[in-house]
Amino acid sequence: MRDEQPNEFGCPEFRRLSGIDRRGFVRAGVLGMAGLSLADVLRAESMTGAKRENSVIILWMRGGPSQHETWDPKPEAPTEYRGAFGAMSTNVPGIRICDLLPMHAKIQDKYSIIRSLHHSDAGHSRADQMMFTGYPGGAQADQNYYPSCGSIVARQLGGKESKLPPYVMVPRRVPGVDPAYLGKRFAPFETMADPANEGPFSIPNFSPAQGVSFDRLGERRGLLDSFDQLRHEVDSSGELEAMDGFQQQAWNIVSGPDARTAFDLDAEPRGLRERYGFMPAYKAPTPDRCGVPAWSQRLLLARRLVEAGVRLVTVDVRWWDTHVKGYETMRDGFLPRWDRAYTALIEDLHDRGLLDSTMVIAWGEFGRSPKVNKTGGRDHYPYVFSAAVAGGGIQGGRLIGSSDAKGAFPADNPKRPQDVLATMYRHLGIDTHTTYEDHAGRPNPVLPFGRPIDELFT
Amino acid sequence: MKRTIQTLAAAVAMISLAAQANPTKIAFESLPLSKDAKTLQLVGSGDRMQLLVNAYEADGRLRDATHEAVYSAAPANIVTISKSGFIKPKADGTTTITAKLGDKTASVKVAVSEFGKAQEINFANRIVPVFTKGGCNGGGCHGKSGGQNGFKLSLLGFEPTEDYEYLVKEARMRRIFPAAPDHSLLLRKGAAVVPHGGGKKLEVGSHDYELLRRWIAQGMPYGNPDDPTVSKIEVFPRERVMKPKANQQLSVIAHYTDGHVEDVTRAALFEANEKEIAEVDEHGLITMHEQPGDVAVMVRYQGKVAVSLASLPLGAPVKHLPPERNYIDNLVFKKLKKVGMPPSELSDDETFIRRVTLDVAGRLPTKAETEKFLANKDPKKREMWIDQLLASSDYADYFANYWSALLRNQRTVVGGRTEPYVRGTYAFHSWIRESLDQNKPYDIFVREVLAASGDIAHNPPVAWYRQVKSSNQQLEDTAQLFLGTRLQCAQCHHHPFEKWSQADYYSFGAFFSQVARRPGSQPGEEMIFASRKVPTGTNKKNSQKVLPAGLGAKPFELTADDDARHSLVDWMTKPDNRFFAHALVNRYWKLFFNRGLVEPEDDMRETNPATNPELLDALAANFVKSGFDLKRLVRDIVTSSTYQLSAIPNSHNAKDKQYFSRYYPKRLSAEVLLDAINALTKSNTKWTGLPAGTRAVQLPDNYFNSKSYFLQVFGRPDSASACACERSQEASLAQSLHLLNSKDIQSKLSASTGRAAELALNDKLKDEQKMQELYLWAFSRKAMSHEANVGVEHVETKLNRAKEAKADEKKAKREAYEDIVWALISSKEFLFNH
Repeated sequence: MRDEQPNEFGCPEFRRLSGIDRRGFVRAGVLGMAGLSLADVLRAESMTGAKRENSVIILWMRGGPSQHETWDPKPEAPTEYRGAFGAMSTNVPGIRICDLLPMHAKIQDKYSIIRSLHHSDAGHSRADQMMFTGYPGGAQADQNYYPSCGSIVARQLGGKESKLPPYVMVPRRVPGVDPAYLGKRFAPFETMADPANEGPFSIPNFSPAQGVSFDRLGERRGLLDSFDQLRHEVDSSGELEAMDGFQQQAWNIVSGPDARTAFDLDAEPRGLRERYGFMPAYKAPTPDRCGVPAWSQRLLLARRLVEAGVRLVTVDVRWWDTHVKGYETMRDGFLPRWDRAYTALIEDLHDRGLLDSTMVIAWGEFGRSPKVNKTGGRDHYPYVFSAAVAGGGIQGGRLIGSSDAKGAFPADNPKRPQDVLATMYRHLGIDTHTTYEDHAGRPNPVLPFGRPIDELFT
Repeated sequence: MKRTIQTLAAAVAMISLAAQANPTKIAFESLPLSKDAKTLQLVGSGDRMQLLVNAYEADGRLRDATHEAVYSAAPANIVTISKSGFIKPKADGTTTITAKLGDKTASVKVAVSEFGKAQEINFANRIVPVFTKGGCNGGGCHGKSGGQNGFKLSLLGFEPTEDYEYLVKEARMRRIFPAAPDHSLLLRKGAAVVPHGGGKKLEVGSHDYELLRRWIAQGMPYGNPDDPTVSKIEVFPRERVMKPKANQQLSVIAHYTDGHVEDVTRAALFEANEKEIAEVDEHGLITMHEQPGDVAVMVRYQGKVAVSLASLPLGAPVKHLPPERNYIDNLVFKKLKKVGMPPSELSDDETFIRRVTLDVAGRLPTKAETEKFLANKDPKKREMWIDQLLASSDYADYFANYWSALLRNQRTVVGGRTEPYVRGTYAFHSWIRESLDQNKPYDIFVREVLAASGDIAHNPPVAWYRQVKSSNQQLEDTAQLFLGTRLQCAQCHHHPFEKWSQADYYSFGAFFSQVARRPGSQPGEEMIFASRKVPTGTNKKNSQKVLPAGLGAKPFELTADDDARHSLVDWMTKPDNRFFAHALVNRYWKLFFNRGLVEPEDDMRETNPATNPELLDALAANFVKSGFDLKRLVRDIVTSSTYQLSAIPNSHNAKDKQYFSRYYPKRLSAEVLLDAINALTKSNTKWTGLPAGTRAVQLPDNYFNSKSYFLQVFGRPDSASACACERSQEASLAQSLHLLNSKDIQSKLSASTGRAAELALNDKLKDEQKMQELYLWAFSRKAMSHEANVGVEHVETKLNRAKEAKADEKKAKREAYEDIVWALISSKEFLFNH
């Protein structure tokens, strides 16, 4: 059994953008063929019988975090590649990460790093499509031509908990997360409210609008019941009934405690909230630099949601697009916030016994150029980048693949975003061979290619 | 083994004294008999055949008795016969098979020859179908472009030479082991003797397994280049009227290029288009459910398709039909009588005015319009109202909104800004709107889009080319949008459900081969023109040059001075074009009835037939005859009694989804609903950069979706697709929450100039009258007394409560009306057109 041959998949454009025309992949095929025994195959097959209770959190490091300044430092490389930061040891011998992630270093045994991810699309939104759907972007970069993984999950598995949507976006949609041809019903439920903002956190439309008390809502509902004379039997398509179902669900959310509790960030103890961090937004010092929203509490909300039964939560943890004065932005902006919030999430999930059932994928749409540019930053670079994966039964403390000495190309065991998606889908019990018809009636499989990364589990 | 098809009437044994419960006779359905000897020929060990037995009921109807009949053969040692009438050879010789049902029998002679003789197995004809039947070469498995786990097959077996390459020559023969065929990986994987990701696809010892094994043992012959190939397939029976839960066995005959025929029932694939009405199993056995309706079973074998139509009539007496107002009624009622489904009553005036105003003008009728209409005693008032709507600018607004999305009038980001696009999207929208307002003939409308040249400022429809960039996209959009044909599949391989090949695809695309563009007069704008070169395309399959040709039509011989796009439109708009008018009338039919005569409306093909083909043809013919008059088409539809039927079912037609025996309700579209809420609450939604009072159906492009949560959650399309299915009418949680709870809706309810405030402050009207006003606005009908009472009591309760609490009574009254308006908005009677 060897790897699929993605180099034969799709049109040349697709292959170019998926990064599957690259030399590294020929090698991947050979490695794959030699590396897996029958036992591996059987074990992998038994794993597909996943329990349906599993969840996923995608920490969407939008903008493209630098691999050098996070999980794949190159302390031995010449300065123009190495950058300004050093590398530090972790609690897993042999794994060294950026020395501005000290809290990560203490929990390295709880998460693993993939260092050999790559594709070939260096445009933000188009690469976003690849990461969320497994398919390359189309003419309109912001637009989903294929459904996001969350929409697939909502479509194939539905809601785990009838009072909660299966797929939530914290706080608002970003390119890549839409349902495309699956239909708006499978769009992410956007929290709209942002835990990053000051003041009490409340989801719009979850509580009665201003000036409308619960009692009054109850009266309104009574009126509606009296007025609503259109009988179900006039409709054989099921839409009328579906609407009643959603009206009831909306009513339950507003009138009952469950959904509001799930989203009630203020119910978390102060100590824990502080553990995730309350660092304020880092304002971009000049317009050509990116800032960092105060997203730490968004991660805590994601934990609350999976705990309550949401299947897939995507958290916008933007905006790692550090073209200019990247070190400063990383040092003063991203890394301290990220180090604290990410490790808090992993520990929190672990402490609550949720880590086994919750897979946490932290990644962006690409990495950054190995060579530091003239403005002290790094530019878009999809040819190699890293991701951190934890939970969902994977072993911590693993390094999957590696990049070359400069952090420029995969050196060993190259992986594609589709492989990570396949790993995630297996965890959720999604059949990736299921096809859904697009607007032209063409059946498209959940994933065009990609296979779960078994090395994470051994 | 030349065989032709004829019905085996001669072999029927007639028995005169038929009991009531018994069939009057039984007979075999069309069998591939040899002409001379009237026998069935089975040649070689691998041949097989599905028998079909028809039972003739006393009332003259046919039913399938294939699985009921008891079979015997004399002599018995020549063939085996399964209980389902499936025969396989056992030894050379001749035998007579008799089917018996009750006391009726039918028999047929069968001759087996060459049993046990090793016939060379042809790879493309025999082996490839095994992969297709097993789903091995499907797009989700080894048939996808990269193959699956290192083993690749051509998609659905369209490229047998490649399959042979992959299977036999690749991987150093490890898949095939001629010395010990059972040890071939192909068989071990297929039979899941070793782990196989796709599961067990072959039973050891089954016909297909043995076929593969024999082929391997023969040394994997490919066959000769001049071996016959399948030229067409036929399915039997072609049409059958059935009863609830009844079965029908199908048989499939393949015709080869040398004229011989073979039974391929067990090797073909079957799929029902309406799974709620019937299902079909892998052996071609149809099982009807209990819901009356028509179902088409598509049969596929070796790239060829055929269709068998089964229908389950209701059979109720159709005594009272509404007046037949035009040809639409004539054909719909004809079908209703045929299937025995009595239609619902005609809708009342209240229902009619709300329905038709929403469907033709995309808005609610105003209170004044409704009152005037209800009071009008003129028997022609419905026609008069329809004509008034068609002449109104609302008609143009509403249909421009529909066409603007399909013609992809999308505002796009250029260099981080959308502004450069605005001039073009606004101009295109306004061109579409004016075309509809002036009732420009549809053929001219389409020509002006497809053959557009020039700059956006001077010729707005070139905006279509700005959005639909490559010739592949252009041909695919043209086919799907204007011809109701989805050609996308044929870009890379033969269309699996259609006759279209890659040659057809690229020939059609050649019409667009001259399209060229230059930067336009402003950034983000383009000049579109036909460059001066002979229009040709290249078939990607074999790199051959192809000339522009319409679907199934002869190629055009054009010069560099011709604009091939005009030739395309010439072909499309010819009166005898089978696609153009059919696609449009079906598309429009769906707009009004919420279901196309063919569904999906842009996937019209032989294997997906219309539920009422005569009606589809008549609509198309009338449309052509009228000079492609769109308003006339709309008028024909909405003046018909069929359109004006009530949505309320009678005791027979509640489950009808195909015959239009009643109106099928549909949720108001995002734009119409927002406008309707604004009309009822007497409020406005403000759109940046557009004049105050602009309604949502008037929005010129998709840009405003991103500014309106309402439009997003209720599914306004982003003009990203030529498919109307991009518009989402489905319910969702976010919609319900938005209606239930949002600041957006509450601010409309509580606006100081809004309906609730106005009614609360009005001292001249009684609460009961105010309820009547609200009902007229919301539902275009008067409130029934119990409904009005609910509202009146609600107002009084709130008022009394405020009095007791010494609270603000005016506020209480206003809030009471807000509550009432909220409940009206949230009711399905409001949210749906019914």
